[in-house]
Amino acid sequence: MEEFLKVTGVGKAFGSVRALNDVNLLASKGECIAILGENGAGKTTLASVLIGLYQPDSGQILLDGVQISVTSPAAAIEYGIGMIHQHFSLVGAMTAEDNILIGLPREKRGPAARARIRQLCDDFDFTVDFNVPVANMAVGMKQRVEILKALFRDVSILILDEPTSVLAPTEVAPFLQGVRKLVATGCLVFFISHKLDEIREIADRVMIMRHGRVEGILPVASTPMAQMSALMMGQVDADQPAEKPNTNEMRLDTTRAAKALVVSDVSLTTSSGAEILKEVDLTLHAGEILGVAGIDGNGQTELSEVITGLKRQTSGTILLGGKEISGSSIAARIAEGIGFVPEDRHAEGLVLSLSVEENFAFRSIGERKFMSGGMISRRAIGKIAEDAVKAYDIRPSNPKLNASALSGGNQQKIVLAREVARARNLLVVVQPTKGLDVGATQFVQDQIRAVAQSGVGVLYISTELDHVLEISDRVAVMAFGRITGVVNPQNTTLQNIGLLMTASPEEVI
Amino acid sequence: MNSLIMQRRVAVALLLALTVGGFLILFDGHNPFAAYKVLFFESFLNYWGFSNTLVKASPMLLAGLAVIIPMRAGVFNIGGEGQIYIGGLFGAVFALAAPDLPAALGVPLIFLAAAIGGALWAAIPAYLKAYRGTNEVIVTLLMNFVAIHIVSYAVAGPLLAEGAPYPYSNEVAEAYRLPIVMPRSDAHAGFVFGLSMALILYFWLRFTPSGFQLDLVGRNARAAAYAGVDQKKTIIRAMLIGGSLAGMAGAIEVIGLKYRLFHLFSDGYGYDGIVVAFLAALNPIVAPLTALFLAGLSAGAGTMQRAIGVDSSVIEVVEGLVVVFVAAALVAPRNSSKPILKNLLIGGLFGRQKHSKKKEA
Repeated sequence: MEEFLKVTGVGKAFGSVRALNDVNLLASKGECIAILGENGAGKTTLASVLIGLYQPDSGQILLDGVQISVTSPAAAIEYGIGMIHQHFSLVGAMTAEDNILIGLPREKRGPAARARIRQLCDDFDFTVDFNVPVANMAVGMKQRVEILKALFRDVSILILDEPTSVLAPTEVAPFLQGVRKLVATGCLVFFISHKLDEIREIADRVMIMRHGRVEGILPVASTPMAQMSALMMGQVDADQPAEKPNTNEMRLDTTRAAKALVVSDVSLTTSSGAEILKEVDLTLHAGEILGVAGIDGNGQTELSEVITGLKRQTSGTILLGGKEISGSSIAARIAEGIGFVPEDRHAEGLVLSLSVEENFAFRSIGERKFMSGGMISRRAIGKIAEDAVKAYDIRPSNPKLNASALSGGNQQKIVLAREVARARNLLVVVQPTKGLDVGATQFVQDQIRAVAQSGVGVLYISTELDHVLEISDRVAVMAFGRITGVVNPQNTTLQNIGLLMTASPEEVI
Repeated sequence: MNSLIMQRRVAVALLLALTVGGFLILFDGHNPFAAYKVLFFESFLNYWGFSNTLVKASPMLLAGLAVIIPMRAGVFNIGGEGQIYIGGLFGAVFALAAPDLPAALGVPLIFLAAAIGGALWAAIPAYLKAYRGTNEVIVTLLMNFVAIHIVSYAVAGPLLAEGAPYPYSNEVAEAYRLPIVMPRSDAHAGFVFGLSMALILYFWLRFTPSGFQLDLVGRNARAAAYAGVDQKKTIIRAMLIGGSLAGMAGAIEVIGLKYRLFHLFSDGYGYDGIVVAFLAALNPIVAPLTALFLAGLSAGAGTMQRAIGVDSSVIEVVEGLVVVFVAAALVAPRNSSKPILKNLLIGGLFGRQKHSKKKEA
């Protein structure tokens, strides 16, 4: 194999976290290499090192046998390395041509350049409307403009970061077609993706990463999907059941428990046509913890928002304890006893410039318990906050402090305490242990178990699979906006979950 | 930001502005201490001077509140000036059209008419901001000029008093004139009205769910949405309140001071309101003090010029400096372990400003 790009022993650490650990890679021109891995496996870090956003702590990158030092994205372009990010960097008010030529010296922006852009479009069968500003384009066309921008700069290595995740289903096939042409012209393409079927279709080899290490670089054609998913999940003996001691000793008899939440046939489609949720069906019983696993960005957050009222579904119904709430406002759902711990506690779950005690009250300030004689009672709020601060051991224990003065774990305790207290029927938690240390994680899990024990249905959405398996009575796996399967954590395998997390549902059944 | 730290910083910013102004007076060849003494003595301790301060403070206070309420919801209302004009117009038209009502009915109705006028004028940028995403700063600012010219047209045309040598309307009925609080002076009850508005708004923000939720939108719009607060409606509500406050400032000028509608009757009070609001660190209860301070500066400037010979434009410079320093104080890094002064100078004026920290978006 002709060595075009050679990566040897590359490592990168952030504090004590080794994001990349001794990464080695050989690649040749005209090849498409898929990069597969869970969240935090190091895929994006590797890409960032290649395009100069990060400098590696150790190791070398060789291009055509010559060691290169990519100090910035501009330097990466000089070496012919480009990347298409999930979030495009285009100027909405400008046309495709202007976006492609932006930043180039004047002499390179003449008619010849414009002719070359059209030539590139022809070469790759790219349909681009050159008459409208980029803001008016569909996502797929914007993506093509981004790729043209890179091609115009003569990249020979193109990194695509989850390129199909933003596309509408109908846009995927033409996009893959374009990538195939790119590879045929001798470009080296890295294709970061979770979608095994796409990897199957487009990639020559798949590089599987886990915990910053390369677990294997395998030819796609001869590697079974099961093996890919097993390597990704880090389970060598893939057929063994996931050994997750389920600490919920009293197993719940779901056949007899009342239904706390029934989500039926719920879909959510964005204005640009992307299907975020597709015909989601879920049943959650009172007293049950239903885990929702999946790789980040597969519709889990939107599912939580549709249930709690922050987003409105395009179709389908939601029943809370048998009562339809599909059209109710957020405030009405709060009043119905739905607790919600959102993913981003800083931006959403808390108001950092308010005091701790005000943070206990802000989500339902008009509730009777916070009022006295038609006015907000600072005393009542203070009393409730003080009790919660004591019960949850929130430190520092002064509820008059601004919430910004507390550590992440203690801030999360505020959100949890507030929402647990509110949850009479349903508690929806999203990433409740994100960024917490072991002790705080344990505490959060215990509180969630306790609230389930008291008869509340808990929807536990997290990308941390270990935590989901540990706490849940049942686990629903989401992929690409669908529930791809509901499993019992005690008698499933990680390989099975891995397949559910990456494959399209038709292949699973 | 902790409001105590903020108020301390604002105080330091004021001192800095006065100090720099003092050097300017010194370079002009005068004794800054003597100048400031006259300035403050004349505007606060002298009976006539203080009455003059009160007259200016009334519209400034209401205009300040008209900035504070929208700002607490995250909307920057620079349109106070225009809202004052339209409010004054509505108030004057009502007063002239219904001259025979008893004062107890007529005066509240004039205020109501003015409030409606100001609110209508503010409703346009509010709608554009909430439902079209248009920048409210630009729209409110530009609408000021439109409003000023509408009033100029009205008093030069349909409302022009018979035989008037100058574009102004007829006088409003004597019964509608605001009572004078300091005998034999011009000091009318406008400031008392503003003071009560400040108190009401303070309690509204602090002790009612709707006020609390308005504040929530300005602090963290996403958290507000998570709490079920409708951001669009809140923006509209905040701007309507702001517009009606400024509109009532216009009414106060008409029935409190001039008794007629003049062209160019507000001398930039809408813009003074911005300074009043930020000096008060967006706290309505502090706004009466900052309005008095700013009005005092402006009222004492003329006397200072006559007594000491310092050009009164120095005071305009001091007012400008107050704006600059207070703005610096508000965007300076939060690290309160550094000395405030150093923070202000280094962090606020010359350092990189993390403006976005004001809102936790």
